[in-house]
Amino acid sequence: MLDLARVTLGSLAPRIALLQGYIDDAPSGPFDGAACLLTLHFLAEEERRRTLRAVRQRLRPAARFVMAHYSFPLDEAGRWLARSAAFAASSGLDPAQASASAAVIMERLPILSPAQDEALLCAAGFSDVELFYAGFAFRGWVGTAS
Amino acid sequence: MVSYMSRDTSLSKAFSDPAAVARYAEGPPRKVPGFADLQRMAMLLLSERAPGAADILVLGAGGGSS
Repeated sequence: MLDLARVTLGSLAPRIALLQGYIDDAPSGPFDGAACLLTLHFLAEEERRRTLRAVRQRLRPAARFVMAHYSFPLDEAGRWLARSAAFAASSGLDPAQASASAAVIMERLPILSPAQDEALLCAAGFSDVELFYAGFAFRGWVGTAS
Repeated sequence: MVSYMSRDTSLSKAFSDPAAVARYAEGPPRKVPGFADLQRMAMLLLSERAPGAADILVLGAGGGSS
């Protein structure tokens, strides 16, 4: 995976240190900001909580944190995943494959509701938590290290 | 800037299979509405508080697009 990142980065590569591991393997910082896009839906609630705290500990006060991933009302999961599958199919993915991957997502990803995601951000030490992105089954928030 | 990525679940197989990794780069733009603009908005939100030469922690390097 990081090999693909290296290729994608091209001439930007010298500005970036690629590390394989978990949040505990990241330098202690402090960093001026952090982002976690399309990743946290892989982490179950407790691990997500722990990871968000560890991100917060690596940020300077007042730094921004941005996250976006699968997040929708869990009692409406089928409807939102069907909409995301329809979006993928309209982008050129095989419709049967798009529907099958929606089923896999529901079965294997520990998806949380938007309310749960926001509560985790606040509990991890982020304030001014704001929704900035919503695209069918995906949501994105920005928070400020407090 | 620092990025890292790894999964210790059965999903890790997908992230270490070269063919699957090659396909990965074309996946998110087709599945995530406004994928490129999501990246751009993230950059702009971070810029609100980060100095010009900033150290940014990216958790989940994906295919390098972040």
